[in-house]
Amino acid sequence: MKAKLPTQCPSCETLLSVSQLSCETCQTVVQGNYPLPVFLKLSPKEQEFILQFFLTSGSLKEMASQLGISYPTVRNQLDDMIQHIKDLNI
Amino acid sequence: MKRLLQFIKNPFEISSDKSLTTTGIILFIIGIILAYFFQIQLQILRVNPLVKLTITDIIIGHLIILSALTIVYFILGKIINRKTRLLDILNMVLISLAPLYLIFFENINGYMYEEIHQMEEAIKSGGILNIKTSIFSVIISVLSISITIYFIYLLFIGFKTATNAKKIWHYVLFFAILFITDLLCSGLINSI
Repeated sequence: MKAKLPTQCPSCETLLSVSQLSCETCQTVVQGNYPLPVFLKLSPKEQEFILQFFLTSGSLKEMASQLGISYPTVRNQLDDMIQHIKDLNI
Repeated sequence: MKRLLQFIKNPFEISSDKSLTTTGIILFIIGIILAYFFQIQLQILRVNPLVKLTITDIIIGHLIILSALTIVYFILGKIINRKTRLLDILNMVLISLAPLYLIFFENINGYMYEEIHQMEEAIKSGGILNIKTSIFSVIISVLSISITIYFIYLLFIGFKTATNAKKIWHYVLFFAILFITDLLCSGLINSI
């Protein structure tokens, strides 16, 4: 089973940050406080959407036909995501 | 079955532009034929079975409703979201109007004409309170109201899908425009 990377604190639901990274080969450990990349701050559904958008070369029409939903629905989802990313203050 | 339920709930979310336009146009033509066959004048939120209509009157009436709703909601859509497309608004109007055509069947054998005519006569003679309401009339009325509510529901979710409207003022304007357009269209259709 592939472990899912947690991005939210299970206790207070605040976005988590990276505090430790390790090398699997030599076991070197880097400690610090790094914010999560933008992509990981998004929900799994939003991440899936971005991936689909990329794989269809940014064609919303093709995405709509692949997902079995209408063009304006896909465009609305994209607009909502753009707003969400803007709200993350990036 | 699941797809059908989804279509009834929100056809604008799952159907492609082409299929919505094709279905909408076919239903629009069927609506015109039914209106002529049952002799009913559609006026958005009301119907009038009391006038004698030619096929030209009905086509003009239906085109007035289609174009008025499309134009006003396209303008509102552009104000709310500049990405709003005319095609999505046209589809929303074409598909939303379809349930209203079911109301035409209430004039089979001139039933609706007779009921409204009797009411008019009773109002003129001052005996409106003496009119007996049959269970059938109540069922027909409830059915008509339900169909009209479903029409408004389809129009509303179609508009939300086409424009991504989310704010309260968007909804207020949507309903205000619906009632104003209804009044204007009724006036215009009655003057033909």
